[in-house]
Amino acid sequence: MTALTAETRRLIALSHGADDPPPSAEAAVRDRLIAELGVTALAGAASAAAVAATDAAGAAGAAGAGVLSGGGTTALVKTVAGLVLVAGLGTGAMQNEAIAERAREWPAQVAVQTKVIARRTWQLMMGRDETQDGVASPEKPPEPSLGFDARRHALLMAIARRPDRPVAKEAELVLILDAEEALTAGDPSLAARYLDQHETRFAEGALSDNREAMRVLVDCALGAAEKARAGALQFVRKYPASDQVARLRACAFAAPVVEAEAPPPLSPPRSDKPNL
Amino acid sequence: MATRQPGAALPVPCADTLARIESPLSPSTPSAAVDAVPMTLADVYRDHFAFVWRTVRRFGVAPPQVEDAVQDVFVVVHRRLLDFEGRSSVRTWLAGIVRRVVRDYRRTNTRKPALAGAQTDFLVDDLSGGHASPEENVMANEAARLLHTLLDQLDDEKREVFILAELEQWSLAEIAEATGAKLNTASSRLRLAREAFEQGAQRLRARDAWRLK
Repeated sequence: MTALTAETRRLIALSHGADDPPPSAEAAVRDRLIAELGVTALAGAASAAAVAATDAAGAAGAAGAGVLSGGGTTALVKTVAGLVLVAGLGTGAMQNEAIAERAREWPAQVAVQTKVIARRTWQLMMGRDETQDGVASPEKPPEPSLGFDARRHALLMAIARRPDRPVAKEAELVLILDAEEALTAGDPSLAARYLDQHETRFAEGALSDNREAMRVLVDCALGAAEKARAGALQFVRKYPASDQVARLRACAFAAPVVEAEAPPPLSPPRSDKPNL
Repeated sequence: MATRQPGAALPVPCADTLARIESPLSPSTPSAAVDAVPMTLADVYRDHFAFVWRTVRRFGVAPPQVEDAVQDVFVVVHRRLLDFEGRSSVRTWLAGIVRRVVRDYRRTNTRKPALAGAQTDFLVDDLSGGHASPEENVMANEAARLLHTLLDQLDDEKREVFILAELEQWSLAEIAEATGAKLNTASSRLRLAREAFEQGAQRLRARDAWRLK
């Protein structure tokens, strides 16, 4: 094979590093991506300083979002504070009876819960369990349901990576995650009410398909097998390429009951090749 | 060990199924990848930002548009991350995305090689401070300017292969994967790219247009 001349090699060597990004580029593009994709998409690329600042703010945490955003740290930290704030509003402002009841407990628990939510939000967005990254909370979360949950993390990350969809509003995300959490905790009725709440507020929201998928899971958990199947089939027809299809199929078609209809088709074949 | 018919549905109760549900991000293929932590956009960004940036630039996006193009690359990564199954390496997958984004940019945002000279003006600023002496800065600026001038003379396919082989030091197998070409094709393109690059360099030398000494 043709070899390059020594002079050309010298040219290449001299050019080494010339096309590397300037020091400010990484942060600049990251901020733009966060603005475009939403905070959950790229929070894990935040600088160590921002993480440390947030952790410190979370430890101080009684005032929650106010404390988090008051430190003059990065825009990302402020956005996370906003997410934490929305989590609080999204929970406290709901009119659903069970949720309103939960909201009434907030005054007593607001300090510790805000702190835990702030920490959990960061852990979820950083994609790491607190036991892995050495930033463990000095005290345990007051409720198991507020701890790190791998499935919740997976759902969050799946939502963050949603292809070709609008970015979900934080309040919308919180409702879906609350529904997921209730379902995981074995309370499908509460999950259903969160989903009702989501449908009322975000009927055509970016996470509508998550809501509809979760309806099927709720029906499964409630033992409404026929309804779950009908819902699963309807979902697959509506969202054939959804990453939730396998999940719904596992749930709605796992029971050994005679099936009235063939299982839905799987997601389209996946490829490593980029498809623009 | 119990056996079951291939493809038979597991009669798992729904509640159990819920508890065992795989992450939607889990690799669909069994075996070693099952326990792997899903790759996130943040991971890709942290580990490959510099590669994406310089590759976008070297593949031919004009300096003022590099930041936009890099952003577009990561938006595509964000969209396509679920499809990445780990059969290829992350960087070859990324290079495939970069080349498509760059080609779109070059098709829509540039007016062709007349801009070549103007595109390298920024290098003076970007390189300042990166070298020990003003002489070294001048030399590095000049080298980078010439490199881009010569790269601009290659067609897209040769340019991509040349950059990945000579500047990124990739293997032919990686280049073939990234460019979607067969190994022989990639090898042939690299040979032609080297020849074309050397011819361009000779033309420049003949015109006494560059001095690296």
